[in-house]
Amino acid sequence: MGKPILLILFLALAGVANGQVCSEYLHGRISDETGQPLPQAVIQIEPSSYRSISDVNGRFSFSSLCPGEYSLTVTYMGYESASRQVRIPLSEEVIITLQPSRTVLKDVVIEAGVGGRSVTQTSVSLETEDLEGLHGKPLGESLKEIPGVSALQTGPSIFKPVIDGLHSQRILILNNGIRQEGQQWGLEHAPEIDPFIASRIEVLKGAEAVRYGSAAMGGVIIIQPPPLHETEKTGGEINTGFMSNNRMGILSVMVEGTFAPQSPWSWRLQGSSRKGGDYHAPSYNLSNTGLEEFNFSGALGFEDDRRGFEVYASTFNTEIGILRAAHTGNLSDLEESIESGRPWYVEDFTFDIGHPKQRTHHHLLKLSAHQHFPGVGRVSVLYGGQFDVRREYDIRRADRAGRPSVSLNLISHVLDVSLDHERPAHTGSLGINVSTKSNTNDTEVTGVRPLLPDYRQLSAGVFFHEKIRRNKWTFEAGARYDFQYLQVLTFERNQLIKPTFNFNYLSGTLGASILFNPRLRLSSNLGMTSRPPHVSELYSEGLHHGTASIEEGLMRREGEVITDQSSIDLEFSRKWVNSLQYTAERITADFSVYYNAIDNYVFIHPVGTRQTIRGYFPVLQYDQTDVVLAGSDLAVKADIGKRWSVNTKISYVYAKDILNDDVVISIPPAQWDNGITYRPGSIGKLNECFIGVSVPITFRQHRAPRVVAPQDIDEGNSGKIFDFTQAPPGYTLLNVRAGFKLPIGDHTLGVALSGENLLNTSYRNYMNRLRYFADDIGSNFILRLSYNFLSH
Amino acid sequence: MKISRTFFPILVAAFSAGCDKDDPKPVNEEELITTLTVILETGEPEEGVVLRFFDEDGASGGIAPIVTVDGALKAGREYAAVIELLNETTDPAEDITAEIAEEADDHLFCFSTSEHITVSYDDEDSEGRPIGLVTTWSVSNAGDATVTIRLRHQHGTKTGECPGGGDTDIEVTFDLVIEEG
Repeated sequence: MGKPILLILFLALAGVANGQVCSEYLHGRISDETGQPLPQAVIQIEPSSYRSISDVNGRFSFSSLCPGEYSLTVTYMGYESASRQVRIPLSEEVIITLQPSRTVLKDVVIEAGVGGRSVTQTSVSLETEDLEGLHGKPLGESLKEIPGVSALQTGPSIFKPVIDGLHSQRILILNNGIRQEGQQWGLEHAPEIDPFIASRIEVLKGAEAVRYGSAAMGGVIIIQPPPLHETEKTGGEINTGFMSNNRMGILSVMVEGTFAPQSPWSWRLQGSSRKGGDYHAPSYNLSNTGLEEFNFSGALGFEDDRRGFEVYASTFNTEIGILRAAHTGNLSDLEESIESGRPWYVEDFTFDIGHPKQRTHHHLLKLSAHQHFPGVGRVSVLYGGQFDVRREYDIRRADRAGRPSVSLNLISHVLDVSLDHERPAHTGSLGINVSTKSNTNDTEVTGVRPLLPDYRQLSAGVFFHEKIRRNKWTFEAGARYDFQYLQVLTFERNQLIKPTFNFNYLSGTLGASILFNPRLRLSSNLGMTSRPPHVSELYSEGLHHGTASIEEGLMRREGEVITDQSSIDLEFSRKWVNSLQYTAERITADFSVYYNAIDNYVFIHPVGTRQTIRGYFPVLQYDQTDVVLAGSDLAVKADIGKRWSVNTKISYVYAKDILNDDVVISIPPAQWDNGITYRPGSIGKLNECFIGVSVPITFRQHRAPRVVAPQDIDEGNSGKIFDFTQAPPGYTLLNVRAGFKLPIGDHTLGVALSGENLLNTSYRNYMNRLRYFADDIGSNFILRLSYNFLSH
Repeated sequence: MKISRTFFPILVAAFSAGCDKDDPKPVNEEELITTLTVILETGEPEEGVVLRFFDEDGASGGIAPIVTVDGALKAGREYAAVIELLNETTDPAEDITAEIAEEADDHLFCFSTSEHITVSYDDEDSEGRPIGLVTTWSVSNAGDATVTIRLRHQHGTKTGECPGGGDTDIEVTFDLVIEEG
């Protein structure tokens, strides 16, 4: 880089840092791919807090800019957001063309991105703060910020996302474009993903099964790292954090760049680590809830006008302690734990992770390429190889303490090929997905009969999806055919048997959306999805040490193994979602209502007890019934004056077992979050100062199953489902967050301090499995530092 | 270099294991306790009683356990009792009693008895706390009685009090008839 540019840059940044008034001018135009101007698009210019909104001719301008390098980010509802680097002074007009979003009809899309790129929300800076304010938290907990998304929890570190009441096998996670094939079959298995890689986390709550397959029945979570080609220099970001509750340290480092100016090749390396000790509840230590995590990823990409290519590899490794007191021996132990109201095992704080604990590894290799063929469209090929290891360590006798009781290896390969075409009036895609999975247990290591049997699976699907635009209307239709081959390797009285199945099933979607004016959009979508039950739902068997209960799959009844394919009923869901989105300069609102009818809904629930030499154990059985889930999510964000903003989020889901006229177990209770933020702007040298208060209110789940205490369970307990305790009462928490950005030369230091559960309220959450044993965590103060740097 | 060292073996493992067609072998469940036997003796011939709880497939299997009481307790007697634990799925059977004796500091047998029977400990661990492998059962009057035996696994939390912290490794109940002495 030449000296004059350096000098200009220096002057420019010095100018920004000193709040000096500059007089450069920048103007441009926003259009869609047909050249039509797009009014009401939001253009953010960084580094500065200026925003502009395009006029009816798609034109925008910024004045009073200082000379230097800026990045423009354009967001517009229904279109992919776009970024552009500009060097000021610049005399010519900047023309930015937006591509329609591939999921324009996705029902409710709420995104939070580090880059602040967002389709439906215009409060870009708040979104940035949102994700920054979650650094160091597990993925599932971060997602709870989104209305309609909650989590099934096992203690303070294990969160499984729940979208509109559905979870586990019905939620698909796309990790950097690859369908995550982890070990999600247990309630205490969180997704194996490092949220630090994401610059954008998107949740699709509609029926997206056409594009992504039946695993997307309940919704899709898209974890998207920032694009590789945004930067022309070597730069990066360091994030550190410290959490008071469990004395956790968090570190994340990311470096990225290109090999030469104008080079189509670029690269990124990223690593993160977390280490924390025992969490504590307001009145006791939650002994053995420490965790340790180490993640690393690297990417190399090539991109020019016509084609692109990327190699990405990542590794995720974690060890998590499970609350010691949650490990109960049998039914009498469970009964004593519930009655005593506090954990029986409480020790002093320690960083050591004892037993029980789980250790998981997830390694991913991704290869992707795309090529643009004029007149045809874009062909994309994506391969993902994933290797998963899950080891669960239990309390064991004699010299077996170092040996896991569960040791699973899952190897999967995914291949996706798709052709996307874009014409002025219609866009669409067709494609094929193929995947293989092979799951094995190391029983020589464990010396324990496996809970989840070995299996091999091959699935293939073909889909098409087309979208037509007519003035204010957009119509959408899609269909998909899937085939799945499944071979299970299990034992019946020590004899190996290999039940084998072939499933063929269809999915489809129909939708329409009308843009009344650039601010108001109404969408309606109907989706139908079929899903064969997962192996764990079919063939789990045995004592689940982590939950002190005996689990029995659908195909295991009273010691018999059913192998007949005709005994398997596919889950069949029909979901209808209607959403209304209003996006204006000062206020954004998203409102959605959905109705989801699922036939043969698979769920697990306590059914009785079984006598063994270890005493009586609760037996949890997988069952199928017909359910209806209906609910509504609302999110409103409004700016009051220049410095204040308020937001509110409400989620409610009603679930009913229509076959048995009963409630449904493990459905999230109603949630209402309120927040207010004050942004004084710059104070002295500190930029982007803010302070915010949020008050999440969680209601009691009034539609929880009836209560049967462990000692009262007997084999005659058929009929209505039950749970061991009452749903815990509702609770209200108080959280506060404040922060600022400090320019240091041309680098930026971000500082944020947050206090969660400031009043140290004792509470239990209905969706936390450890609610039988202990309170949730008490107050927690978190200091986060982030440092952005560019080198020249 | 470091990246290739980390990822190359993973790749190789992923591709080779993907083609793995080895069938799983049946698991010889370790750590399993199939049998709890209480041998009760008064010192007199013909007065011995044997209580046996046999669970062929342990806690994870669906086969119902078999409980047998061989002989009858007599009122007004004191019995010397010894507990034996076995894993009978292996040949020869594995002696779990020895494993418990070795880890006596982490284990405690708890006895819950109905009227007519009291149990006292005759053994202790390295810190003088009871274990319960060797006990004395005092039987007072004739009638029906029950005894529940729980083996508590109390790594680091053993105080000698019942039930105390920890997990239950065994919990079995015997229904007994005490005859007139």
